[in-house]
Amino acid sequence: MPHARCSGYHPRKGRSPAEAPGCREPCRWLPSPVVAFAYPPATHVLRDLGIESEVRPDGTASAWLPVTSWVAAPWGGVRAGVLATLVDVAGGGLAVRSAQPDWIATADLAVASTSPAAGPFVEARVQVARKGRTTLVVEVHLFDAPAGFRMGPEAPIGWGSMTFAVLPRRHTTPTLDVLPMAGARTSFRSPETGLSRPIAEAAGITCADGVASLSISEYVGNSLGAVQGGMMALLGDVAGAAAVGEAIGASATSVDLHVTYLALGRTGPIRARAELLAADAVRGSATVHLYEDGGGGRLATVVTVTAISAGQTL
Amino acid sequence: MTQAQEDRFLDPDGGGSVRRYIGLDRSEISDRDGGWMLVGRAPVTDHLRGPGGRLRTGALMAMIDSVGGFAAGLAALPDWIVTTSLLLRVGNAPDAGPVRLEPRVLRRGRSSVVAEVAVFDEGANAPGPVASAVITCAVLTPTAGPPQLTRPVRFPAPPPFDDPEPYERFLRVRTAAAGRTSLDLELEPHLRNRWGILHGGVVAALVDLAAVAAVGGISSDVVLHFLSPARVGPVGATAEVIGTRVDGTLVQVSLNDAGAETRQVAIASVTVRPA
Repeated sequence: MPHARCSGYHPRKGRSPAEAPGCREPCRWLPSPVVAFAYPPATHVLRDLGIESEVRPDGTASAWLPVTSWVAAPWGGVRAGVLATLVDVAGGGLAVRSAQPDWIATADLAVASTSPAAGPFVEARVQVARKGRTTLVVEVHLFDAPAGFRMGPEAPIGWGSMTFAVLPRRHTTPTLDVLPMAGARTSFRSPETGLSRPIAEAAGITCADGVASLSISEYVGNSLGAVQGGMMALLGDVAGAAAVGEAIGASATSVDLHVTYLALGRTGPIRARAELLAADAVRGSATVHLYEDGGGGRLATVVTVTAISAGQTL
Repeated sequence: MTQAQEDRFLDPDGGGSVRRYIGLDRSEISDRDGGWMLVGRAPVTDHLRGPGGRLRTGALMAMIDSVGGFAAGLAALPDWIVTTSLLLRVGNAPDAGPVRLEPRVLRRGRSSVVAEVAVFDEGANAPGPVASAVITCAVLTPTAGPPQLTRPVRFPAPPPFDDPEPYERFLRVRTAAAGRTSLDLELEPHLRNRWGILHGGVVAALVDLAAVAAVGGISSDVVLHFLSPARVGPVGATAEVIGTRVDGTLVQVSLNDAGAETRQVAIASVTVRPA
């Protein structure tokens, strides 16, 4: 789902919804070099990850993430679930503008990397592959970004994609600039934010009796009060890598994720059930189903994972 | 479609040649809850085996698209569906056969249907699935209405071809030599589906062939997005290597309809492992 939501700025009334109860004016974001969003809240995983994103006038977008030990997978690069979060931010940011005046909902996300990102930053660069009446598809390339929050060199280290369902405009749908006149930057980081422990632990992912689960909290929430899509991917990453690691008898790193979103994960904890497809000495693959533990055990997301032995890269 | 294009859609099987070539049976059987569940089954015949001897991933994707799409279509009745994406994870490519495909509809929304397809290699005695796929379909209302079906559905495999053409020959693929990064096919009548456009299974097969031709091996993990229908042809496929890991090479593939102002038909990423 898009991470941005109504900023509460109502140009005609000049007051926020809280100050103007019953106001039904469509909300409007004003373009600015760095847009401040009401979402995510001050303490949130997207802020701790330090993601910064940009939508450009040519219809492309990028998002950058600092590479730190807290987001590292056993092979040394950024965890696949974190890369999925980065792709989600970059792809969602472009798609929500490209779909205007309509809105979007994420249907699926895929990400695969071929080598660990050396950092100090990793970039997800996005373009729209197709915009139809009911579906929008974006294609993503991942790059090492040694120069910081700037476009990296031209040799990608991974590929991704996202599909969005286009939701017809309603009176509550926010209005955005279709594309900015100049590059519009959004930063989730601040001097007060940052990780101080491994991302899975910080997100609230625990493993007990071979089952990985994620507690629902505002820290990992999206703008609709459900679990943020990247965090669902991270849970699938953790559960899938654990299943493969157990089969190959070594620590395993997820390098390829396919994520299909079926329903919002609202009622927690979210529990992962992993089923191994196959494994050999260096790789394995698994299917992971993510269920709401409450709410009748509804299936929320399906993640399939390919993981390799952590000591292997090339 | 123009009249000239419609005239090219002359497949006497009504778009069924692809299903006949892969020998696919689709039938509903009773499930544990007293309802019906769709099951697909197909042999692993010699003309569908790749250089390593296992079932070609392109052929497997054609089966998945056909069975998963049909299950999604049944869930969408009285509307029907068109596949928009196919995400495939292959653990072990089927070898012994027959292949059994069990689709399960995960979500039926107003505008889309999502189905998961578990793939079993019955002759290999593996207890669990050897591959898993998720397909997403857009719901549409065909102008001529949905296919007329009698439940439970029974579509036995069509009679096999007496002397089936080799795989690339059946697909009319050109320049599919190892090491090449592009190839194409003419949009012949037998490669079209009931709507007269390039069969989704053929799109998947072309993606697989292009990726394998670029680096050699067998495709395992595939992300395939169907962007627009191929109506005119020839349809070209271009493969570009992203990079190589210990378990294989990641290749991105793009398909274009050269006769329709090179409109992009599909994009995909494929991990190709050593055969």
